[in-house]
Amino acid sequence: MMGRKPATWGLMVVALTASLAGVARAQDPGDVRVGITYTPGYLPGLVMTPVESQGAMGDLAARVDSVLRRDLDYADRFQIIPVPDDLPIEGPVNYGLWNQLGAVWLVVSELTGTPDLPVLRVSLHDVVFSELKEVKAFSLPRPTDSGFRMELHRVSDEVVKWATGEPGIAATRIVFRRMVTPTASDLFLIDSDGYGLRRLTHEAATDDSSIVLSPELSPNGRYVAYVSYRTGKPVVYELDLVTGADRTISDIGKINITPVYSPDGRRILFGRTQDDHTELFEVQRDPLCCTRRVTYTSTGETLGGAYSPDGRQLAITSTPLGNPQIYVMDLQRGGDPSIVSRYVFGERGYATSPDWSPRGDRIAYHTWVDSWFQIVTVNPNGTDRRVMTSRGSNEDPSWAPDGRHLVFAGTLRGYYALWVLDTVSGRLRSVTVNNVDQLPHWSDPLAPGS
Amino acid sequence: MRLNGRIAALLVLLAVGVAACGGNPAPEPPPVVAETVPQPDADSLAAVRAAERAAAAARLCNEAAAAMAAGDYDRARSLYQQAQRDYAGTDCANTAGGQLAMIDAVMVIRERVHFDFDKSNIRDDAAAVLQAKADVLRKYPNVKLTIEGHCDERGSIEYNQALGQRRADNTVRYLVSLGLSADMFNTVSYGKERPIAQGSNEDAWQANRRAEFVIENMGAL
Repeated sequence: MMGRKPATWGLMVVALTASLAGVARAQDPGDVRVGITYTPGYLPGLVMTPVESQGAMGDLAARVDSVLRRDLDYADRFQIIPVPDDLPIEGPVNYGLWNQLGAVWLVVSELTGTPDLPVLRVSLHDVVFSELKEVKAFSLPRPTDSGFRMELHRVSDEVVKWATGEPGIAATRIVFRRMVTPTASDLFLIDSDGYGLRRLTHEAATDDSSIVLSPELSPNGRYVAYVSYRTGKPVVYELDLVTGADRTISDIGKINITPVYSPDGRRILFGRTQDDHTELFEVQRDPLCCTRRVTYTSTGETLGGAYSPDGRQLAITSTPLGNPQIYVMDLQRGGDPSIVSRYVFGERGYATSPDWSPRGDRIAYHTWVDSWFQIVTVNPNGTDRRVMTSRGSNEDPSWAPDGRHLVFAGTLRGYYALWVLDTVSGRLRSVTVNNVDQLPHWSDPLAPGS
Repeated sequence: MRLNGRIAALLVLLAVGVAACGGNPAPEPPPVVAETVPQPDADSLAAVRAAERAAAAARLCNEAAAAMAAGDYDRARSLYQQAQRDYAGTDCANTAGGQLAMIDAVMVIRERVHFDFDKSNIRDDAAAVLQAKADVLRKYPNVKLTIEGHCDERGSIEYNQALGQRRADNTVRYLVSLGLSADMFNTVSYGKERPIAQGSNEDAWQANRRAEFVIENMGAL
């Protein structure tokens, strides 16, 4: 198995998944649904009429329209129903008409105000009950402001919340590392819909073999904790995205790796050398002090922690059985960590890189499946393990704030990309393509001004 | 007498000719080169050739030193061997022996050791390589080495950071167990960030699962 050539494997994958393709095409010709664990679920129909505008705001309205429409689609909560060109949509809402089209929700929006200070008035109608569910006027920043698109994403997220009770994930970003040359890497940030790519580090400019790793956005989206080799060994740093200030978080010992923020943003958990192996430590951020050891692995390595949403538990990568597996441990009560990834006596397991869902109910990680990495989710008690991907090799999952979407790095379609997977429907889209982008981390919802 | 008379007449003519020349501008001097180059004798010819030989040998030695500085020890070795073969007796050739011994030592010190997948224990083949290394290093106690731990592409990026460190640490531990001072060694893990072999096959993976030995202090050799 170990020596199997990718080409052979690729053919097998094609054969294995060919039967799924028909279902995927029937539902959504633009996307591919992956995996073998998804069952097509019911998605309520949603119609969004074109954003109306006054005066000379037509171009801006078209821009707003495309962002809102894409966000509502990418929420994966609705079946987006196209509006036929010849449909009369002026005048009072004709619920019967929308009902006939299969809509459960109707979004009507209008751009008012001035081109410099536009106001977006959005209403959500419940077509089934023939009533106005919510309406709100959102004051937008200047369209030339860098935060204009992010503000539109916040509008989309609110509309999703009106309809589902849970906010959308549009007003978020993903931080990752990119191989900018075959041998040098830097950190990048991108909006979760694939727009607004921004380079955060420029280490490759002065070092043709620069290594940066493991970027993680703080809960408020202002800081990025990461690892760089710029002093010759792995050191944990924190970059302030507002001021550009960069500070050292931990450079003690031989390696300092895998930083993550606690849910309240006050602490950073990271792996560091202790007695010739790696253990997890927690350090207070502000002021930077009071590092304490968190894990006590007598042999082997422990690294790559992820907090539960309440901050009381950790999912960790550890090797007490010889190979890396995922464990859950209680930060306050102590006691032995319990294994949650699949372990079969006598078989070589390999599971790393856990991320705990913001909803608390699932842990995602990647594991070997027939010598290739695939994304898996599991309950925090180790039950109900589900393999989420089945093609290519896919690594380092990170949950979106809604706890149902995952971003990961992988080769699902034969090339490297950052993929976003809806773990409920199996719908898949790429955020970046044609670059070796790795170690993505999905931010929390970003506050205004981010 | 007639003959004597003719000789006398010729002598007179010659004397007139000399007197006439003395009254005219001096003739063009012969070329300077012809004047300054000493007539070659055997000793000075040998000196010139020796100088030329020494210069050529020195060029070889410089080239070899540059190759060594660039880490191209095979080329350095061949240049020093050429110096010994073609320029015996020159300063370069005389020092080449020492340099070749150093290159031999460097090659032994730099030889990589390899590991099994997701393992950091020293295999039997690696133990033999480390034993040879230790024998050389004992003669050069002031050498400083950085031992790099590397992994293949199949492991996780972050986990390989820890695994690579463990490989480097175990390598140091083994060398120390052979009697070397731990002060000779630094370690760093590059995880799977710096592969030396491309490709997704066991040959490439095996080549990349390795410890590298970087000599930080060549002067100490």
